[in-house]
Amino acid sequence: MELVAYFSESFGSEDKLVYGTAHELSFVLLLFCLNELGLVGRAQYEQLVHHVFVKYIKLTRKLRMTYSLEPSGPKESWGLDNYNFLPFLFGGAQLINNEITKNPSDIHDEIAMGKIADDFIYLGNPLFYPFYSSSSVRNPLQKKDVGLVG
Amino acid sequence: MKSKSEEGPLDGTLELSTASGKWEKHVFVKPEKKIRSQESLEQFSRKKYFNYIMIFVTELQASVFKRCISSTIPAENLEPLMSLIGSLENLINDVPPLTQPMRFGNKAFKTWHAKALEVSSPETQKTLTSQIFSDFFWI
Repeated sequence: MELVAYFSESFGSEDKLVYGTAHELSFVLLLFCLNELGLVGRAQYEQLVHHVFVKYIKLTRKLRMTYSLEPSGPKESWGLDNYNFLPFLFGGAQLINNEITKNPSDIHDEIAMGKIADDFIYLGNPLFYPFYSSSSVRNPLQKKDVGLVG
Repeated sequence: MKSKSEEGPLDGTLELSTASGKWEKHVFVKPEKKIRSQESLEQFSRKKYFNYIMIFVTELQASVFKRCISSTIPAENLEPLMSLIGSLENLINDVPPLTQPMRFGNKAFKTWHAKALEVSSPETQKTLTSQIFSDFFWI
């Protein structure tokens, strides 16, 4: 069945043992189909992102760590993350005009961020972890949302 | 950003209708990976749905503008889907990684994946459609 096919492709490639944005896309296509079929409605979009998608991402991260899945495809062109794209898109939206993260450099204030990390998708991204941070992606919030979807 | 119309198992030959009530006529096919050379009709479908999908993602994004996770009230009808994802996570405990040289991915993932499909296949039909939407039994 169609839904199961998208579902099956959402967690990584079992041949190549990789995970990448194509798998993330497959999951979104699954959600898209549910929407088209009328099984979820606009009123639930917020829950789809905050609950379903977040839970999905947690699952894929656990899978990646447990089974050492490599990133699929070439290095992500935005320089954000080799595995996921949408957590940055959704996460950035949450933080628009946010009081706590007024300055892009606040993202690196671990104490302040730690307090609100559970609430915001963006802060859960590996980019955020100390041992992942690098100078080339210092302030990604500044790039956020401008033509990111296009 | 990579063009999303070139990725994933999107089947260009689908003739979906977005009006509810027209699903009986639709033939569900298993999506296959399509190569870039396509008939122009299929290309049109893909473009159209490409736009629908982009709109969908944009609307998803808009739904969380300035919202934090804890302020979102859980939706009842999404419960089955949530618990399905939860059970997949628990499945990881049942399939520990194999001890092997860590150069590439761990083959236990194949086992996990097979189990995940097993666990969810009959359930997927049930949980994704849910009791409220029993009309969609043919999915």
